[in-house]
Amino acid sequence: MPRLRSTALSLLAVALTTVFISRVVTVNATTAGLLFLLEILLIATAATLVESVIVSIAAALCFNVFFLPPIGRLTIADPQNWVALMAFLVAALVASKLSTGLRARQADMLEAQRNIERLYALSRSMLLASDTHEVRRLIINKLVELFGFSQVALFETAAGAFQRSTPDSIITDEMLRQTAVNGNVTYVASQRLSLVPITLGGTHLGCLGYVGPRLTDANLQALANTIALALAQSQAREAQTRADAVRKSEELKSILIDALAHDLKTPLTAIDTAADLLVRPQSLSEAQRSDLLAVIREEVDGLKRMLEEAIHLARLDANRLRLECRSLSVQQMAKQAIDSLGASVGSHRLVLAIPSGLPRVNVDPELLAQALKQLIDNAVKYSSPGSEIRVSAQEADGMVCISVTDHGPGLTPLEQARVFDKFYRGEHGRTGVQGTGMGLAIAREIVEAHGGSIRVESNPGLGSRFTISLLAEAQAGAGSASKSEPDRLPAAIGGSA
Amino acid sequence: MNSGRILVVDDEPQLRRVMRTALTSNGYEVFDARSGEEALHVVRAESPDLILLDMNMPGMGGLAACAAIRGISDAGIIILSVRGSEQDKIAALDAGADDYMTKPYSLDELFARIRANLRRLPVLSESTPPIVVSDELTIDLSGRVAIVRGKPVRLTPKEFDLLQFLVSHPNKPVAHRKLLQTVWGPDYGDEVEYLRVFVSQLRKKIEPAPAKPRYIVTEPWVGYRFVMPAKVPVSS
Repeated sequence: MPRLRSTALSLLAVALTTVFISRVVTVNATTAGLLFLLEILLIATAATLVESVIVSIAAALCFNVFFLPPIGRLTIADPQNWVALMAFLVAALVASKLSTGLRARQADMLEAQRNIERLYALSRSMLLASDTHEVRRLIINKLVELFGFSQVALFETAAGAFQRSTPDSIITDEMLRQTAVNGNVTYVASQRLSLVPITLGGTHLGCLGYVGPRLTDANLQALANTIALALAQSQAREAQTRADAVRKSEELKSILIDALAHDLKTPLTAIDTAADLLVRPQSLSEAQRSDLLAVIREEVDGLKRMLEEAIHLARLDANRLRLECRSLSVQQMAKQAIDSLGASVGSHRLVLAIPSGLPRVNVDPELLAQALKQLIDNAVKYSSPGSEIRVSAQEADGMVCISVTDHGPGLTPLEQARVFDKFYRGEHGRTGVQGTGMGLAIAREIVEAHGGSIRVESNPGLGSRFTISLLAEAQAGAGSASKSEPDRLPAAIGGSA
Repeated sequence: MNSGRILVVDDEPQLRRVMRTALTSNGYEVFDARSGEEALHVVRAESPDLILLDMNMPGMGGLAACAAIRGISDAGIIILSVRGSEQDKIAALDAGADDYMTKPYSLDELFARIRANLRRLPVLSESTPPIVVSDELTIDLSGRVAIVRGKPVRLTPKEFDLLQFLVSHPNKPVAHRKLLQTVWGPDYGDEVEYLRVFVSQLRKKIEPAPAKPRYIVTEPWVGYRFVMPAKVPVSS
């Protein structure tokens, strides 16, 4: 309809020009031809190809009848007439072609820009969503609002959830599910219905269905990608939150219950049973009696140690730690730690590899020995009997590093990150190994109170190495080192803070 | 004096020593193992009558060990665990254990449970005829097997005792307490979850459709009843 009108207007313009230049101001044929040509060019830039052709033929006819001799009659014999017609036609064609191309490109650019704006608005609104349900709701609302779709439906495979803009939609569950599975874009022209699979990196995330104007492939793909990213992101976020919550509560529960149940009840059971047997009137041999008494003794010792550790940790927690530092050689420190280990090393081979000539450290001997003992204890607990436990030391960048290396099961990166946490016990600790999960936490508290640091390196399956790093005393000779003691500690703590 | 061969499985050396003294001084022969893996070796080599199995062990762990032992032995299994939740008990029974005790336990209770788990319903003389329940199910009381659709089905001693007691009281509801006291022992009576697990295992073995039991039916709040189909007169 609008095209018909604009064609009529163009023809009217040609007619008016003809009347004007033949009746009002008379011009010669050449000027008339040029005027017509100009008019055709102007019209062709704004009109379609068909319109331009019609207008150029009309202009050629007018030019022929009113300006070429014989005036007032249509002649087609003269080659001059043909030249004029051809000139007008070519001008119309070229101008129209150029301008339609330009106009199309401009429209495309506008459309693309609008699309980018809409996609940007869409993805920005996704940021506010808290869960996948919310994300789906937002996607649907925004598609209706921004793209003007009359119906929108979204299916998310992972959640098995369908969501629609209107309850009585022509987009069925079946259509959405099928498209999500087969991954093909479908367009039903009769219903103006598009079905687009939502995929990300080869994973089928779901399907979008909408009723509305058909989008170009590129725009459709961009839309699908935006939705895919939003869905994937919200899924990941949800999974993360869920896993975190479960892990936290589960871990805390199982750690505390296991630690308390196993580590208290097991020695109690042994003590209880042994005591019960001893008071029975049953005949027990002298050897049996003394063995039962030994069991009671050992288990009570174990319980006592555990209690001491717990109290110790509580004291460290409460920051009631008073350091009584003095200058100490690494050998002395290691010796003190090993002496306090007693029989618990069992059949492990304890190898000391501490070179002489290492700088001394200024520490609380008792506490540092305890920290080192915890590391060795830990190595004993988590590696098999007979395996080697190596205590080594070296100097690096003004620090003295003391390492305890075992050939136990090793720690996964996750375990490495948490191994110094209170009550944390690794995969292998959960089942069987005695301990409270307090030892390494104690070690860390002590080392950090000295301004030092503690770290673990591990190769799952091969073993672990725990390293304590302490600030070395200035290499001014053993004699002067002890004099400068009082100033050293604050400096050490300040250095690490 | 008692007799019986008992395997103690615990990773805690002190507990093994105490248990050894406790059991040997009561007349039992004792073996011990530090882990589930070691326990399997001992079970194969010594075929003990009863196994005291710690739940919380490094390596394969108590539950897996229990299931593995059940695969090769009919010996009674008592699980000893520091955990006492219903879930833990059912998991242990499902893995094939006959009984479950929470640490710390009293020695008297432990001995009572050991005696109960070593006890079997009296084996009937060989002349006792098999009970033909239906075309598909025959129970051979002297051979202690059930024959389902012509094939003998292996039942653990407790499962068989339970079946035998139910079959010998056909079409009558038997109370939970009665079943527990007969099959497990006089100290039992409240462990209804034991019956749930064992009846469900029995049903899986002898019922054509365990979800819709035909032979062992539940009497809600009371107990169980063995349905003996009326004998169809053989048409001539």
